[in-house]
This record gives sequence, structure tokens and C-alpha cells, in this order.
Amino acid sequence: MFRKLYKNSRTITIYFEGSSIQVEPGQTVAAALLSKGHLCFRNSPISGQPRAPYCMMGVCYECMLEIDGNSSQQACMIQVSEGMDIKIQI
Amino acid sequence: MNPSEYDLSIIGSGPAGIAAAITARKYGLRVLVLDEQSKAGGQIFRNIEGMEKNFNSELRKLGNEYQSGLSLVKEFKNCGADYFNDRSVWQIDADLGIHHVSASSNKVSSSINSYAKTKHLLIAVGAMERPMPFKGWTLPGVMACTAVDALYKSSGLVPDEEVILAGCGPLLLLVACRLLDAGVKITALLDTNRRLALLKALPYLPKALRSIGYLTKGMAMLHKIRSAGIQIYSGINGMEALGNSKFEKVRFKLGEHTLEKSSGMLLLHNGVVPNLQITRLLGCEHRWYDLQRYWEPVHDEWGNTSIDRISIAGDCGRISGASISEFNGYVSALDTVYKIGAISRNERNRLSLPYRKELSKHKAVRQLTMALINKPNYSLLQSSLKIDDLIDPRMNTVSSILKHVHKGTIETAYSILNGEYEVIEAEIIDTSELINKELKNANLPDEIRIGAILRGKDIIIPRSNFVFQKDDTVVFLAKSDQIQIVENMFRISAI
Amino acid sequence: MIEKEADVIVIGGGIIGISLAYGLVKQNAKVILIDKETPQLTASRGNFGLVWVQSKGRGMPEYVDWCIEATDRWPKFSETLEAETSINLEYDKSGGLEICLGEEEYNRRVNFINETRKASRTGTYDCDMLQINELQKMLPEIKLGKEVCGGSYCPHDGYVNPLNLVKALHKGFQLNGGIFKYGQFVDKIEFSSQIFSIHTEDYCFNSEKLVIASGLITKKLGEMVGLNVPVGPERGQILITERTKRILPLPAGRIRQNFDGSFLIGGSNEDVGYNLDTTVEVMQQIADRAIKIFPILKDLHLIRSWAALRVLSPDLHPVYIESEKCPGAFAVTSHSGVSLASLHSSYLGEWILQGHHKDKLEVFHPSRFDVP
Repeated sequence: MFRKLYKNSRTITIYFEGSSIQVEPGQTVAAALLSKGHLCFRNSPISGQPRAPYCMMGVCYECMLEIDGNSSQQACMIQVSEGMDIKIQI
Repeated sequence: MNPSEYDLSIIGSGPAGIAAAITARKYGLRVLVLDEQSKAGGQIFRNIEGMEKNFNSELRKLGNEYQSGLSLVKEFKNCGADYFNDRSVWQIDADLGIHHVSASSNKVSSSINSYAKTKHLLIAVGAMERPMPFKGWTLPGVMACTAVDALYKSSGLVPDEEVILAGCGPLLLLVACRLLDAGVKITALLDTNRRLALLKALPYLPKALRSIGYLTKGMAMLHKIRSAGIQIYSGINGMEALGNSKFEKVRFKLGEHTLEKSSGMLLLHNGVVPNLQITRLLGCEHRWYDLQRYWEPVHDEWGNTSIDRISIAGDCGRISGASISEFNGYVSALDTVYKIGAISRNERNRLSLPYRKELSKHKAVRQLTMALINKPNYSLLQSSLKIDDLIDPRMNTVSSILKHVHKGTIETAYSILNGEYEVIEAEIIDTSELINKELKNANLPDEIRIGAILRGKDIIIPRSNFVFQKDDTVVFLAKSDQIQIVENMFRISAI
Repeated sequence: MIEKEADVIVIGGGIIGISLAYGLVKQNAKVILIDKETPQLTASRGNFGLVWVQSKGRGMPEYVDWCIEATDRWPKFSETLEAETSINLEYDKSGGLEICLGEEEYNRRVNFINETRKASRTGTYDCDMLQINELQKMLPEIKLGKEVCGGSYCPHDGYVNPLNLVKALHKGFQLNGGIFKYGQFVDKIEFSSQIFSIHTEDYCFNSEKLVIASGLITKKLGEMVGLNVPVGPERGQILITERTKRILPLPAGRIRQNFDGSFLIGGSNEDVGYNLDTTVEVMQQIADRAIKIFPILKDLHLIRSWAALRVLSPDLHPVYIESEKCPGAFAVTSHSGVSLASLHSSYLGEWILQGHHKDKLEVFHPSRFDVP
């Protein structure tokens, strides 16, 4: 999907759907997940179609995930933090 | 509740908002700045402080304009404004009370709501990609071009599979070149505008974009892309994105033929439009700006909207790019400083003069340039909405005349202002009677106005003593019924 | 000044005006519809979309029966309009619930339902009280809050997409030969030799019949033709949530879920004049009550809110009147433009063109407001 052009040596641990992944700090949840090959973030609640980040700037609302217990969080607007718990929203 | 009271509250910490904050603070105003993003800089200076800290070598690659944003952001951080990131403004009362919450929790049962009172409000929320829906555009793997740009700036990520770029506007080429530099393979470039419209606009991209390293001449970019073996399809329509659960291929029409191209991702760009959410919800008056084909809030030169005490600055009022946005911010803030009473009206006019001069000096060229970059081709909407025929009367004027004269497809003219005027680009060739003549002696008819001259890499706004040289490219404005004169005076260049 | 002629001129292109105009062209009248087109004040854009009987008609049993007849006719009305225009009205005669929080609310509701049932002339009023268990059974996918102790269910009720409805009516109107002139502000109306002349900036419209259905402006225009139509504004605020899985199958307690998954939450009645601001206090109240009814709403993002003005007569019921001073001039105003669209596009057309149904409509004459 995406690869890193330049790397940061430091990483932090976040959890996606229960599994831990190592990501670089200082980026958004959406970017972090895309960098790990996770593309489809949710299914549309009405049509069931698979949806993924589109604008990466907070205007399209396609990248919504449940983050730390809060539903419908725009993943492209939230920075990753140590121990963050990210789930796909049903 | 004892709410904080501000003289000026600014929504948005891109170049416009930042510039306004810095200025207002210089005159001692109490300033609040709110941004729903996690860092200052807006879109154009996205993650600029992060870049400086972690990826300094990459910073240089992004060009001078981006780097100049760094000092602006630093100055802003030190100016003494109350600045809060990750804040989503969700309600503005009639008396300009501002309600804002964490950008990650605007739920029905209000969570921790913050409230601030303000005397004046400046909206500087910038622009967004023009959404152009078509069948399959919601498939995972279809993204906006600027999204890929944001991923690069914020996280150093680039696609590791092949991509197709589609839409209209020279920014497609810009993104293509950046991706090529990063080693990304581009399957094809699909342009909904007709052949060469893209190219012709390239020399006139605003400085900001041109200074991003490799953007020197349109031909150079095109050459780069062609050498990389990238196929360019111009004048496509009927685009459809196909795939099972993610994007797999794009289907489109080119004239009579239907073609398909497989790739890893589809990146879209159809120009940029002002972000109108807040001005619309506030009930500001808006008008249709036909030159760039979008709605914008009605505003005066100080950024005042139709609602008292509410102004706009930057791209959310009119797409102009970063440096102009910055000037808008200075000008708008000075007006507020005057309204608060910290300076007199004359002082406001005097202090803002250099910025206002800059703003008006380049206005003609800028508007031209922006029109060339930002005017969409609606063919995608046409096909997805099943419109049988899109009749654009403007397409039937100069282009057809030129076609007749030069027996080829020439895309060097744009009809504007409802077909009354043409924007034409013409080359001074060695037989032209204008060579070595001064502009004031050129005897150009009144109906023809010169917008700019491109000489080598420079854009020149000519004065009366400007002397035309061979190979100068002249961009000018002519009334549509004066085209014969144009033909006689210039050889219309063609590729 | 361009002169235009028609059988009927209708002033007001909102839900009431367009329902009337549509009904008139279906009866082969030549109709010109005029609208000033300043969207802010119109209830047509801001309403909730209920096609409703329950809770209406306090103090006027004829109105209850009028609403029942309207909802009886709605399915056919919707079908015809959809077939004609290919616009999906998203109409669902789902039945409707009113929710009671606490014993007192419950008891008040019981009384109201009983009174209304007794008063209904036609005896067709169907509305039953439900205890909390029965109520919850009707809503298998969404849990009721602890304070809910019951509610009432009315099978006459339903909902529609009000924006699509107005759009479809306009399309149907024009497909049937209706002419729509918008951006036209009526300066003055003259009546002489049985002809009305309606003057706007660009036009003079002439006709034998005139219908004023201009919402809050009906009063001012009505005075030009000897009509006294007392209407005033009442503000209501509405909250819209993000889209989510469809779990609420029918409107309940001023909460309903759209076909696209977003929740509409309404419920304020404010006397603030012509003010269209949304206020945090009222939004908070609306949200609080909604969460008491359906706690799960607490987790939904608020996307948008707006305020609109209801057009209300002194007793909240419709006003239908023909001018005595200028016969042929009619005024029509009602708070329930959506619900009554099926009747406004049928009965009222017959009333306006042929003078039918006068007996049915008598009760809605504004003389009922005159102090004895």
C-alpha cells in the first residue's frame, strides 16, 4: 500500500483490533494504519460497502474508527499515542 | 461560567490565520486561535515543525515556500496568542460566543465544552479538494491527490504500488513528478481537459508551486513524465472505478473508445474550492465565482463578510495560494485592530498598504493563473449524472477559429466572463512587428490588455517601457470579437 | 412589465403553495406559481418530515378527522407523485410513537387520547397506550431509557423526506403544465372587474382566482384582498446526527431515523419572533430528552442543527378562507403542510375551482378567532 521514504528510529505500540503494532510517533492514526497495510477502515452502515481514507484532511469522514472507546473518530485527525486502542466500528 | 473574552478569535492556523494572529498580537489584542488539526501550518505547511525536527533533509526537498512557512509558524507560536489544537468549533452564538470541543468528541450529549466570547471573528479555514463524484469513487484505494501529499508531508509515506492519476489541472503533473522522484511507478495520467490545456497553464503556476524544486517549465515536467513511459490520456470522460473490495482498475472513454487500465491506486484531483462549512452555517451571503467555478463568501478587501464582526481570510474566501493568504491575514487583522480602536483608520490604511499593493498588483495574473489551474472540466459529473450533452458556449468561440486557421488542435485560448473575453497565450516570433518595440509604442488596440509576459523562467508584468523580445510568450486578455486583430499581430503558438 | 395570464395564480412556492398548485394543474387549470425565494423563513425546508395524526387537534375534533383523512390518502398520493416524477419520496406509513417519561406524562397522554377518541366524528381515530414492555417490543434494536414508562402508538402516522416531497411536487407541477416564476416579490395586488392583478418587479400576473399560501407573509398579502389571516412564527430547533445502522423503524417522541441512517431529533416550541438562531440551551434540552428516551444516542456525533419557524394560527389549526370583499381570492395556511399535502392537492383544488367542500372547510374559517 504505502512505504516509508524516511524513517524515524523511535516507535511506539498501538493496538489495532486487539493486535499490537509498532508505529512511528508523530503521525495520524490513519497514516499509521495505512503504513502497516490496513486499507479498509470500515463498512458503510447503510450500504455495507467497504470504505477507506480519502482526503486525509478531515473533510470526507471516511476514515472513522473507534479509538480508546470513543466511536466515530476521524483517524486522519488524531495522532497516535502509546497504548492507543483502535477498533473497527460496526 | 466566567468565559474568557477575546478581541479577535481566529478559526484556522494556516498561513492566513497565523499571519492575522501575529499582526493582532503586535497591537496588543487578546487573540484566540483554534484549529481542529493537531499542528499549526494548515495544509500547505502541514507538519512543518515535525518535518524540521525529525526529517530536516526532506524539508529542503519541499522547496523554499514550504521552508519559509517554518519561520512564520515559529513567530506565531511566540506571539502570545492563546492557541489550541485539536479543537472543533461546533457552535457560534449570535453574539459571537464560540463553543468548541475536542475534535475527537462532538457527540449529542455534550462532552467537555469550552466557551469563549469574542468581539471579532476571523474565519481562516482554507480550502479543500473539489469533490467530483463518479461511479466507484468510494472504493478503498481511490484517494485525493492532496491526501497523498499530506501523507508524504506528515508521515513520509508514498504509495508502494502503481498509481493512476486522474482529473484536471496541472497539479496532477506536480503530484506525478513528486511521486516519480520518490520512485513511485505511474501507470497513466487521465486528463478530463482536452489536450495540452494542462501544459499551457504550467508556466503560470503561482511562484509557491513553481519553487518546489523541479517545477521550472511545463515542458520539463511533461518530458520527465513522458520519459518515464507514462501514458497521458487527454479529454477522457465517463470514468468509472472498478474493483471487488478495493480499487483494481479504471474504465474510461476516449472519444469513441472505451479503455481500461489496471493499477494499485487511483488518485484524483479536480481543483480546489473554499471550505464553506462555517460561513454557510453562519448564514453569510455567498456568490458564484465563475472564473474558478465555485461558491465563495461575499467579502470586501478587508475580508468583511455580510455579517457584522465576522471576516474571512485566505483560501476559504477565494483560492489564491499561501502567500496571498498570508497577506489577507495581515490586512484583515489590521482592519480588526482599527475596529478595536488600537490604531486609526489612516494608520490602518498606511500599514496595510504594502500588502494591499501586493494583493492588487498580481491580481490579474493570479486570477488568470488560478482560472487556468482551477477551472474544472465537468465531464465526469456529466457521465455519472447521465447528462446527455454539456453545452458550454464558451468552447465555441476562439478555439474553433484557431482550429480553422492552423489546421490542428490548439488549446491556447480560454473563454472567460461568459464568452465575452478570451485569455490567449501568444509567442513573439522573429517576424513579429512587436520585437524591440516598447509597450507604449506597440499600438495595441484598447480591447487587448496584456496580463503578463513569460520570458525564460520569469513572469513579467510589463510597464509602458517594457520591450518585447523574440520568444517572449505573452498572455493577454482580449474581447472575443477582437480575435482577428490578435491573429494579425501574433502568431498563435502551437505544439 | 410583462403581463401574464392564468386561471389561478398561487403566491408561495413552499409545501402548501406547491401542493395546491399541483392539485390545481391536475384539474387542468392553467396555473402560475410565484415565489420570492428567500429560503430562510420557510418552514418547508426546516421541518421534520412527519405525516402525522397523533397529538393533533386539541380543541378541534374536525381537525383530527381532517388529519386522519389526509394520512389515509397519503399512500396513494405518494405513489402517484413518485410514478409521475421518478423521485423517491421515502414515505413510510410506519405508524408513530409518542414517548412518556414518568407517570405524570403518561397519565396526561392517556387523557388526551381518550378525549380525542371520543371527540372524533368519524370514529376512525386509532391510537393506543402502550406500557413499557409493549413499547420496547416495537423497538427490538434500540433500548429505551430507564425513565420511559410507556407511550402511545398510532397506526395512522408515518414520515416522508420533506425535501424530496417539495422537489417532486414542483416537478409534477411543471410536468403538468404549471409555470413557476421565482425571485418575484409581490408589491401589490389589485382587484377590479373580477380580475386580480398581481404586481411584482418584472411582471403583472392576471387571473380570476388567486391563492395566497405564503406562510408567515400570508397575513400581509391577505390584507391586500380583504383577508384577515392571523399567523405568527414559532421557532423549533432540530438536531441531526451522524449516519449509523438503521435501528429505529418508526418515529418516536420527536426522534426519527432517516433512510440514510442519520437521526433527526426535534422538539422545541419557542416564542422568539422571527429569530432563526440555534441556541445551546435549547439544543441541550433537546439532546437531554432524546438521551433519556434512547440512551444510545449519547454516543452519536452531532453533525448539524438548524432552526425554522412554524406558521401558526392562534389555535394552531389550519386556516382556509375565501375573501368576501374580493371573491376568488383564497388564503391557505397550516402548520401541517406535509401531512395535509394529500388533501391540499385534492380537496382544496376542488374548493378553489368549483366551490366544492365548503361545508367541510367551514370549521377552518378564521372567524373562529373572533372574540365574541
